[in-house]
Amino acid sequence: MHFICERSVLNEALHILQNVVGTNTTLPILSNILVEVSDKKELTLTATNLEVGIQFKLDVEVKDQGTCTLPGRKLFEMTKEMAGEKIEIEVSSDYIGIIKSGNAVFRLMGLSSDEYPRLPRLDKVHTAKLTASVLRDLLKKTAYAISSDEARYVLNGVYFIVAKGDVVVVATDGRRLAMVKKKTEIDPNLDAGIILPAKTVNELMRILHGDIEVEILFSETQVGFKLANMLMISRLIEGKFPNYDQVIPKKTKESVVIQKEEFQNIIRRVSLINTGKSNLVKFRFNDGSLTLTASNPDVGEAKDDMSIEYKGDDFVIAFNPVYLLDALKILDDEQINFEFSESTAPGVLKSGDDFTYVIMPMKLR
Amino acid sequence: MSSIKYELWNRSLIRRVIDSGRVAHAYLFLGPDQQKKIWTAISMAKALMCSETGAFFCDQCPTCKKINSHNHPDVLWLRPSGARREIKIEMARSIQATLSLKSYEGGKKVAILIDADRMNTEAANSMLKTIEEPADNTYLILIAADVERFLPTIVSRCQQVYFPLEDRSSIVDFLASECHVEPSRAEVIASLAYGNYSEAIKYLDDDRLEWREYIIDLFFRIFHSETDIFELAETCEKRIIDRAELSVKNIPPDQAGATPDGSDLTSMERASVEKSVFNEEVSVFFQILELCCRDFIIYNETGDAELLVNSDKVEALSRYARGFSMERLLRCMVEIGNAFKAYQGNTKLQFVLEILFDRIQQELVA
Repeated sequence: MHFICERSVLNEALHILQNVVGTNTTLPILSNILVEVSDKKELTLTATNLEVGIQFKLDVEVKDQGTCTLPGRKLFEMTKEMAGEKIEIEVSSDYIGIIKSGNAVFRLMGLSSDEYPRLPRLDKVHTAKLTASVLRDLLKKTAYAISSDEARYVLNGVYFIVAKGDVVVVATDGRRLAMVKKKTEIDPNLDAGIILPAKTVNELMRILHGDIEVEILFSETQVGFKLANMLMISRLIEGKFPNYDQVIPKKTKESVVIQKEEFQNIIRRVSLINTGKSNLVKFRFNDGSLTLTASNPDVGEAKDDMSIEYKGDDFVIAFNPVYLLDALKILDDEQINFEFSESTAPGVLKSGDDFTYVIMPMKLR
Repeated sequence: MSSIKYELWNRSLIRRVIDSGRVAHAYLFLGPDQQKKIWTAISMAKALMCSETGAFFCDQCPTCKKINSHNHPDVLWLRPSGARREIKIEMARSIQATLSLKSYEGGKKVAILIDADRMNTEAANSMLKTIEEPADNTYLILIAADVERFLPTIVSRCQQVYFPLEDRSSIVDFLASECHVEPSRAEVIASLAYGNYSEAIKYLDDDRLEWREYIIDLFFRIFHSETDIFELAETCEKRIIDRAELSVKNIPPDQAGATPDGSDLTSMERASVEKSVFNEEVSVFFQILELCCRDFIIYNETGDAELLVNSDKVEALSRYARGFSMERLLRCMVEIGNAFKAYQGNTKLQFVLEILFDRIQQELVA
C-alpha cells in the first residue's frame, strides 16, 4: 500500500477518528485505524469502538493499493506534528508503515486488517435528509436531559422520531423532559423511531456544523449519518422509550411570558446559596412580580425578584434550579413561556413553537 | 468442532431447553470442570445465534466461526482481572452498557461471565436488574464452580445447571483423539485428572507430568537413609520457585497487567499476583505428594495396581511399598496435610519441607 495526500486533510480526518479509537483492552486491534487504498484514487479510513464507527473517504494519489491497520493515536500525532504540505505513507507487506512528510520520516508498526471488525452493512435502509446545523440544534436542545442512570438504559439516549415530515427529539431522566419538534421536508411517509446512545449524540454534536446536508440512514439495529466524505454508524439502544406524550401536560392553568436573560440571571444568583445537600429554590408568582427565595441552614438565605406580566393568584412552586438553568442555557430566544397549574404539578417551559421542557416540582417544606 | 465437544453438548440439558424453545434469559453453569462449562456456553451461544437453519448450529457459517474464535461482537466475555482477580463494578457497568444496545449484527446477544462468583458485592448488585430482566434477545451465562460465593439474590434470578465430572474413559478418549496424546500417557493423565477436562488440559499445557515424576522420585528418595534431607528440601524449594517464576512470566496479560481502565498494576498489586501464583504452585506440589502417598498406602495394603492413580509407577511402588504398618503410613499422610497448613500459616517453605521430609523418613525408614 502506498499513497500521497495533503497532510492537513489527513490530519483533519484522523482528528475526528480519534474520538472513537479505543483504549479497549478486550479487543486491542480497536486502538488501530483501518486504512484501505483502492485502485480508484480513494483512501478509506475506518475507526470503531463497536458502539460508534466512523469512516472517511479521501481523494489521494494512489501509488499502490492495499489494506492494513495502523495505531490510531500515533498516526494522528505524527500527521499533526509533521511540517510538510504533502504526506506520503507506504506500508510493506509485513505491515510496517513508512510515513514521510517534509524531511521527517517515521516507521510505524501496523497490524493485518483481517482481524479488524468491519462496519456493519446497513440493510433495509430508510433515508432522511437534514441540514447539519438543524440536526445539531435538535440534539443540543435535548442532550443535557439524557439520564445517566444505567439501570434505566432506555433513557441513556435521545429518542429520535421521524413521522409525517416532522422530526421529534426527546430526552428525559425522569425528573425533567426536553422535547423539540421541527417541521422538515422529509418524506411524510417515512416513519422511524430510534434511541440514539448518549455517546453517539456527543460525537455527532462535535462533528456537525455548517450548512452541509446530513443523510440519516435508518436501519433495524443501526443508524448511519452521512456527511460529505464521512459516514458515522452507531448502534441503537434496545427497548421501548416511555410514552413521553403522557408526561407533557395538555392544559395548564397559567401561562406567563418571562424575559429569558433576567430569569436565568436571578435563578443563578439565588441558587448561589444552594449546596449539594439542599437544592431547592422557591418561585413566588404574585401580581406583576416573580420572587425567588432559597435558604440553606448551613449557609444562609437568598432572595431576588423580577417584574413579570402576571395577573393571577398568589402562587408558590419549588424547583431544582439546575434543571431550569440547563434548559435556559441552550435557548437563544429573548422570551420564554412558563406554564404551571399547581405546586404539585409539573411546570412547563416553552420557547418558540418547537421547544417544550417539562420539569417536576420539588416538595415545598 | 470436535466430536467430543459436540457429544457433550448433545447430552446437555441446555440442548433440550433450546429445542423446546423455552430458553431462560440467565443461566448459572455450575460444576468443578471449567472447560466443560465453557464449551457448553460456546455451544449454547452458537445454537442461539447460528444463521443456518436446520441443525442446532453448523459450525461453518461466519457467525459460528466468530463465536469459536471469541471474535463475535455480540458474544461478550467477562472475566475477573487485576490483582484481586475480581469482576469490578466498572466492568459490570461496561457490559451492561453494551447489552443495552441493539445487537451489532442484528441477532441475539449473549454475555458469558467466567468465574462470575468473583464479582464483588457492588458489581453483583449492579448486575441484579440485568440478570432479572435483560433487554430483548439478550442471554446471560454465569459460570462458577459452586453457588456458595454468590449473593442469594443473583442465584435466585438464574436457572442453575450442574455439570458433573466425566468418567475416566471419556477423558482418555478426549486426550487421545483431540490432543493426540499417546495412549499410555493419556491413561495416566486421565487418572490424575479425576474426570475433569480442565485438569487434563493442565497436564498438557505445562510440564506437570514431568514435575509429577520428579515429586514421586523425591518421595522415594526419602526412603534411602543416606539421603540428606536438608539438601533435598533445598533443591525441592528451588524447583518450586523456578516453576512459579515461569508461570508468572506466562500469566496472560488480562490477568497480570490489566486493570479495567487499562492502567498498569502497582508494584504491590503485582507482588500479590505473583504471590498467588506461587501459592498455587506450592499447592500443586502438595497435591501430587499426597496422591503419591495415597497410592503408596493403597498398594501397600492391597497390592492392586488397578486402584492406583499413578498407574505407570507400579514398578517403583512395588519396590518400596511392602510391609509398612497402616498407622505409620497414615501418619505420613497427616504430616503432608500439616506441612501444607504450616506453609499457609506463613512458615518458610524450606523449613516446612525439611521437617516434613525428616518426619516421613523417621516413620518409614526403620
